[in-house]
Amino acid sequence: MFPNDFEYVAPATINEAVALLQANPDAKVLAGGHSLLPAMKLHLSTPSMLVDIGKIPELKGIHVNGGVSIGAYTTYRELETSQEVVQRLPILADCASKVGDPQVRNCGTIGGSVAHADPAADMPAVVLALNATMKAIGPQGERSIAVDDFFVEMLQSALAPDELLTEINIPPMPARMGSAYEKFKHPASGYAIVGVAVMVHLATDGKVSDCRIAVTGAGPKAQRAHAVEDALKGGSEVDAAAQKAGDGLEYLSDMSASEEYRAQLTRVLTRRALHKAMEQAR
Amino acid sequence: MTTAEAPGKMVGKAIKRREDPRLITGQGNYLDDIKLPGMLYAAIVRSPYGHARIKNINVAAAQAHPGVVAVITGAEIAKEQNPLPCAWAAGGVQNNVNTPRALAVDVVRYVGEGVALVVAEDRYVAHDALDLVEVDYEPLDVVVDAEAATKAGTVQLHENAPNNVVMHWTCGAEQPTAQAIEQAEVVVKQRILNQRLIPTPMETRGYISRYDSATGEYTIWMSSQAPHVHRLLLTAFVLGIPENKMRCIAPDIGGGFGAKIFVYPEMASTLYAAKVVGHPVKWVETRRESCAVTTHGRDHITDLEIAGTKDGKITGLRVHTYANLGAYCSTIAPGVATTLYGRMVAGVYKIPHVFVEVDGVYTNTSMVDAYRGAGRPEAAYVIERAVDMFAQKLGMDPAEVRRRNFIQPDEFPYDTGIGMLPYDSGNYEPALDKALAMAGYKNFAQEQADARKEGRLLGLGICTYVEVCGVAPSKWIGLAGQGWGAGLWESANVKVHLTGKVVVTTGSMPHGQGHETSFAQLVSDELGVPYEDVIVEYGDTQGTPFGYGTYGSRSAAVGGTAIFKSVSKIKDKARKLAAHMLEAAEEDIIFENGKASVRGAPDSAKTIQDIALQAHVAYDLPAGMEPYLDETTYYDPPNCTFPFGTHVCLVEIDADTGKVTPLRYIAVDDVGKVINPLIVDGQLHGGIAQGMAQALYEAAVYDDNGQLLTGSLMDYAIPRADMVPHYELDRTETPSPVNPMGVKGAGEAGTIAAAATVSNAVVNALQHLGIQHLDMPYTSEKVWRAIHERNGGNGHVS
Amino acid sequence: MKFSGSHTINAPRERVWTTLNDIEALRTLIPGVESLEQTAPDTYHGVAKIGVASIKGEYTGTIRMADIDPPSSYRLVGEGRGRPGHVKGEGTITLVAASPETTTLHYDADMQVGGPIASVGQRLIEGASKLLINQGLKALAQKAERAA
Ligand SMILES: Cc1cc2nc3c(=O)[nH]c(=O)nc-3n(C[C@H](O)[C@H](O)[C@H](O)COP(=O)(O)OP(=O)(O)OC[C@H]3O[C@@H](n4cnc5c(N)ncnc54)[C@H](O)[C@@H]3O)c2cc1C
Repeated sequence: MFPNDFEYVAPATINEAVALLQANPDAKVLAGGHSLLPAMKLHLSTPSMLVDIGKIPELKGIHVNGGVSIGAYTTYRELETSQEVVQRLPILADCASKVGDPQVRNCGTIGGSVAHADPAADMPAVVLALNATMKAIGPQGERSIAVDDFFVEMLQSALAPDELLTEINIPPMPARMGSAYEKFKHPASGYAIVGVAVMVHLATDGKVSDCRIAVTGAGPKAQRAHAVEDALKGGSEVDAAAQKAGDGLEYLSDMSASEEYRAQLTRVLTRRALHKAMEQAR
Repeated sequence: MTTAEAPGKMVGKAIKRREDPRLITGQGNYLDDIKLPGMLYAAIVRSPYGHARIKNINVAAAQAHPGVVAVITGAEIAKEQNPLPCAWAAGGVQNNVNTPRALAVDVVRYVGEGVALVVAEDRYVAHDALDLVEVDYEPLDVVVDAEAATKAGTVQLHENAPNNVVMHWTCGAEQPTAQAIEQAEVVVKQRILNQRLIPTPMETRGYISRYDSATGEYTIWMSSQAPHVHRLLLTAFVLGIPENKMRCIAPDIGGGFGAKIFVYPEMASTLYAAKVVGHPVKWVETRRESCAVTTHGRDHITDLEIAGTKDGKITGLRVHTYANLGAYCSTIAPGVATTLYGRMVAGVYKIPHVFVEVDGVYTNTSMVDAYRGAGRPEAAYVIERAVDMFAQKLGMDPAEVRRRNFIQPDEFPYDTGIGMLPYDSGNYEPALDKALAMAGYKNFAQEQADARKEGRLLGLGICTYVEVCGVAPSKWIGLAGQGWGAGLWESANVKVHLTGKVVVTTGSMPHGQGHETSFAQLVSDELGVPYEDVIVEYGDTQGTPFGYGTYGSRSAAVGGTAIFKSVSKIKDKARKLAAHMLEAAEEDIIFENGKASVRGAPDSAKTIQDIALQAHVAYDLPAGMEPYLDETTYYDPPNCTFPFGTHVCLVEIDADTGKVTPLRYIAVDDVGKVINPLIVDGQLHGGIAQGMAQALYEAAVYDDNGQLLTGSLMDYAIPRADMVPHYELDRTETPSPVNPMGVKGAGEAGTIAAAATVSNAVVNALQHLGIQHLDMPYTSEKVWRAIHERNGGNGHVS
Repeated sequence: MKFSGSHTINAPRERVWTTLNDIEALRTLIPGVESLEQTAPDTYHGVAKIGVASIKGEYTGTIRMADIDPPSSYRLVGEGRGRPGHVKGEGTITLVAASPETTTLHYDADMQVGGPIASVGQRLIEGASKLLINQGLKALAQKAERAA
């Protein structure tokens, strides 16, 4: 488990980091290192340089500004224990607490997780359900990326190689909103074989006025289960709507779970998550 | 344990292990902690193919890489070294045929087989240089399935093993068994798989080899369960040098589970490299290497038939097993698949006719050898699943069927008739009763029925196991057809120093069993000295008497008895010396609680410390007595020991996802007399976790091209604390008559019982769906499919 | 590992066939080609950096076109080796004229992956392979559509 040779730099500012990335096409951002370093040790990834963003203060912290804005370099542990997050976005704290083990949660960051866009990672589903906006800074300056456009392909986010993800902005959550994340763990890796994040908003009459349902683990990237969303918004009962959770999604299979089984898990977890979220919203 | 304990009451006491403060505060001394002056580092180029001809190896670029000292190939080593030996040549296997070499020559036969060794100034350079070794492979056909490997037309791994058969072995009587099955009222047939496992010790393997050119002596530090055996095999067989030209040192060992018993290619290749480069050479296995090339365990395909009467009497058992032994014959692999497996399949039952056939098979996979339990978990799995299926077919309570067939307490020693030594002692029903009471078995059927009405699937599994421990009698295992290539006794030296402090040196080699604690408890009681005054040394062939090592739960029963006997000899000598000191007749001296006193005159006494001092200074010894209290014993027991017990597991299955959750785990074990209950419980905890993990999580998977798909802990699921329930343990105690302490052995019991227990629980939860058997591991998808396919495809259970 | 699928290309079959049938097509089809040269009729040898996002490795290999049946199908047989492991596979590409101006491209591929990548990248291999095949074919389709 020995990585290839690489250079290590730890810039103090975002601009320096971006300049380093721009100048070194084979460089990679190093955040918590809990996806990147294992990949390097297995020789799956062989960057020539690591740009450690852990020394850049602007990338850290959780701010409440109507919504919640989370610095890319915020660890799972910070999300799990932040009172702001626990109160306003319990799904995020809950999801963070289900990632890996304490060591992973102490190092791994939300920015690293979404930038890595691992098909089995937990956070992508949650930020997708919460309709986050991603802020990135590159050589051309700053831009915002809607989360629906962020997860492009397996292991590919919308970030350019010389762009830094700086912030994840979660919009304000209205009243009568409920959310939940249900995860079915891989017994070895602890990643999600399937994870389903749901966010529902009820109108005053108790009907679903808005909802977003996002599935991770099932396919090559975090995906929205539009069929379920449409059914719920069209007045369907939870159990009936959840049965549609498998529809229209892209699936992958591997040794641990076939497509068919992933579809089944998606339906079951969607149903369970929806019941919890509805309960919360009422 | 810091407070002084009064001598005489240590055995049976649950004291904490004295090795733990060192090990859990980072003060252990593991192999990779050792750094020798001038030491170089090795890394190994390994085959990415399951089977290929090596057409050419070009080492020039690697050799030229800065920091690389040497690049060594198999052809080079083969000029100097023999192949590694097989030490347990059961079933007619020859000890030097189709065994592995230090590095492959001409052909590689499994993914990960070593092809070249790079020695460099540091381990990063060594690993970088691996890529620079250009190996030109011509891929050959691959076979990974043991049954398929025996079929005509399949690729042959070794010219001298037609149909890839390592050995064909049988035990029991074929014809009478066939007849019993033919004439039986009820017969259940089933194919069951015992999947391949990766041992995964926390500390991977590693070796440091050093050669002293002035003396021609080798020293090898090794993460090893059996340093003396390794010295014997490496010198006599691999290097062809006198045994006294090698010293083997095993430091602290971070787990072995059997996998560190064997002679490995990297021992041989680093010994060669150390001599060539003239520096010590360290090699430490990466986790990926550990998954791929440290021996695997189990991997049986078994067809079984169990026959009996309608009222639940078992009348016959026939078993055929393909045992996948991997690409080469590993050190004791043939014995594991035969003596330790086949001869144990009758379990705790009186079965009039048993016949077992084993085909050991070569495949393009990593070698398979002993893994915690070694043969006995496979045997327990066969018989305990068979009995459950038999009960299910009869519609009888599986506990009742077990009871009806148990060997009775007055029938010991009991010979099962299939070539195992007679079971030493046993009393199976009390353990079963106790476990069932703890589990609340009486009410379970009702609970299960009620739960089903709510759509919940509960299952309860029982396993009443017996195992063979304290594996020994040299005469039996070496001579009488078992094929072991040496003796199998143990040794101990006990010295009482001038100060009265005691040093025990044992040939056993702990790697997590707590010998330093248990053996000190034993000596403290037997010799009547404070526990703190006894230290236990082991692990270095220079300074410990020859021992065969720690495995097969044999350290207490065999190694412990050697200590017991050495202490007895010390006491005999102490009695003689005390008689002299007290001017009494030797017959009148009683040695008790560390004191020799004159019968009828308790005030006239000498403590063992007084005696030790006199023995040491030797101012006034009886005529002809040598100075010092120093006694050695080589102990070869008359029989093995046969621990037993009942395990019960309660599981719940989520019908929607197929996820199996173990809710309760109850174990009532009888390991004979217990020296340290805390250590025995610890051994059971770990063992149960490993057995449960086989049932629920672990499986080494190869694809058809011989690629190991579970090559890291991302894909190979070992159990974590939150994946197993709280264990409820209890014991019965049936002393072994084999040794004076009455101990049997506890290191493997948990693993032997647990896989079968959990398996029976899972099938029990599903049997109302018409399921007779499911193969381990019970991954959620497999279980969901089993449910789903029997419920009209809607995935729900009503 | 088996894959199959189809793409619709807005170009007539003859034109798609022509696009598919030269060395440039292979360059387009195989992402990350760094060098490619013809070593025998219908046989090419080259180096490519293949992978998904940061999970990439360099492979050296050979690819051969076989059973060429213009303008409807051919088979690609290839193998490559690199530090992450080795890949061997073959695929058949079949063109069906869906209309005079559109062509349906079907593919069937069978691939074997070995070496380190197979033992540690198991969960990602299928997804990555699908992604790469589709990216390659999409690029090829665009090329055919552009070639007027
Ligand atoms: C044992 C273990 C168990 C795990 N279990 C889980 C689990 O259960 N669920 C789960 O979701 N994950 C799990 N993970 C992965 C973990 O969550 C990772 O920490 C996370 O996916 C990546 O975050 P990081 O900060 O460590 O990023 P790094 O590993 O440092 O980086 C990951 C990738 O993102 C890029 N990157 C990082 N930050 C930025 C940024 N700000 N801008 C642009 N690019 C960036 C890096 O260049 C790299 O390509 C586990 C990891 C381990 C080692």
